[in-house]
Amino acid sequence: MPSELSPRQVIAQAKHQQALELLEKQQLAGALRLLGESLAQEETCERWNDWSVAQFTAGQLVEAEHGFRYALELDGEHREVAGNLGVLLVECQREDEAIPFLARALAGGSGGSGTADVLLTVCRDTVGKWLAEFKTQLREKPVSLENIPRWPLTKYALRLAQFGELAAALEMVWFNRHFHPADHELVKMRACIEILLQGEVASSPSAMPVGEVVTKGGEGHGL
Amino acid sequence: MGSDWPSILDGLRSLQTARKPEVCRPRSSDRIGFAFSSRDRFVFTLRTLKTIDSEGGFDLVWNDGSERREVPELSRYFVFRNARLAEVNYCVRGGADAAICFGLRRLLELGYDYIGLIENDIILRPGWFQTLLSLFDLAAVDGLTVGAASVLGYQSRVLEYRRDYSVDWARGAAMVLFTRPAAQLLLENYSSLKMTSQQIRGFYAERFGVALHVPEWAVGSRWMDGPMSVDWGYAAFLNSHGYTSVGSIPSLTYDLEFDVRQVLRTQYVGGGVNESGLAHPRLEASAGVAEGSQVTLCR
Repeated sequence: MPSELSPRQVIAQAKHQQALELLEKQQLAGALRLLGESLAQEETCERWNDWSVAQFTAGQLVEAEHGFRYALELDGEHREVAGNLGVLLVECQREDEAIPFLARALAGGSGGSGTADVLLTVCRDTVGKWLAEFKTQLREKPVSLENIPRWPLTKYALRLAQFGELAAALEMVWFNRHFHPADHELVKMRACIEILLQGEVASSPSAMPVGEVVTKGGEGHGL
Repeated sequence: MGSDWPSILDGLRSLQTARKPEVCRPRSSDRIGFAFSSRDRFVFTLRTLKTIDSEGGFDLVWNDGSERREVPELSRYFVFRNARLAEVNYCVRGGADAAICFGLRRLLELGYDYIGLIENDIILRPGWFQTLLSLFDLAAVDGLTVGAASVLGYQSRVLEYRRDYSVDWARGAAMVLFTRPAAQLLLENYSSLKMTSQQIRGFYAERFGVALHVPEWAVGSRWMDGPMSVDWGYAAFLNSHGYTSVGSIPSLTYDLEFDVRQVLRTQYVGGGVNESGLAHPRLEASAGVAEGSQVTLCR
């Protein structure tokens, strides 16, 4: 037996329903307003997902990402939300970050997961290419310190990585990305350094097993 | 923590004696107002708002500078259950400092006894408001005059861990409650508060004999010295006028926008550090407080 809904929940449900109708008609502004009102009354994973889908459709990717992530905080098992976040991250060219969410969307069975499956393969290929390029950069001659600007930290981070200081390089990339979250060079560098670091952990004698992602080249890298 | 442990309390008390700050401790009749500043980020704004509104006993003046419509709309339909929404101001633009100054000025104009700032990307834990007020009394037991208190605490920004509160060397604008005189002082001097990280280190070395060891400023082995945003200078400026900045132990706030361990390379103040004393190394030749000395600020 379903438990009785409070007046707030009833209002929230009604507004959610109206919003879905507007969303169907591509009336995004109205849908977002109603979804916002519904969420102010009562937050659910599904409502945040629908709000985020509307933001995604409106091209507001940062807002949509915040919404999908919070929806997953409310229900970490929700495969549809995980898949949506994965698609959004691919759209943002952050394929490395998309991988775990697409994998989560595919976990536990089939049915409506064709897109996630294809995207997951694409993401793994892309990250594999990033890694190959980054390894080439690592073999290049390091830029001398006097030619490295104080900001951004990309060049300094690369120099550290070239000298094998991967953890320190990653620290720099994280810090810099806080101020420039969409910078694609930083996105790629973070992904590659993390893979290399996990590779170091995996190859150390005391290493614990880590998850494997197989890239196009057949190379296994822990993510 | 015995009386023979190294402490900066004597230094703080000496500054107070020299500057004679106005002592304020919250009473039930006091009016407390927070300037809540928002700029888009609907998800964060709604989440912050709900945790603010989990408690009552204060007013909110909501200052919005959004480009998009969702957050201004939220201010029209969000129903407060505990906090009182005193007013909403739209199109508050010009950057973070402009919004901060607008908020401080507006709350001073409205006559509040305690004046706070809250940004739209934090989560406050239950009990935050009473804990925040209690910090003024806790520090008073140690003979300190508080100018700024917060329930958001990063370990890297603590000078000394006392019993149930911390003395902080930096107090940002994300979550803070000032006494009225401290807020007034900050606003009147806002354009000259900016300091570099070197100046901040120099200030605490000279005044308190403390060598700030700040992981936030060392990124991947590189020392990131240089100009800091204005709020980094609040605590030093208030200290130079005899006002102490304090924080709760533990921190009752966390950030929505970033992971403090990754971005700031520190952690929130936890209960385990309670009463653990100085958080930074003491310089060998500890400096005293020169009555006539002034904080050196960037111009």
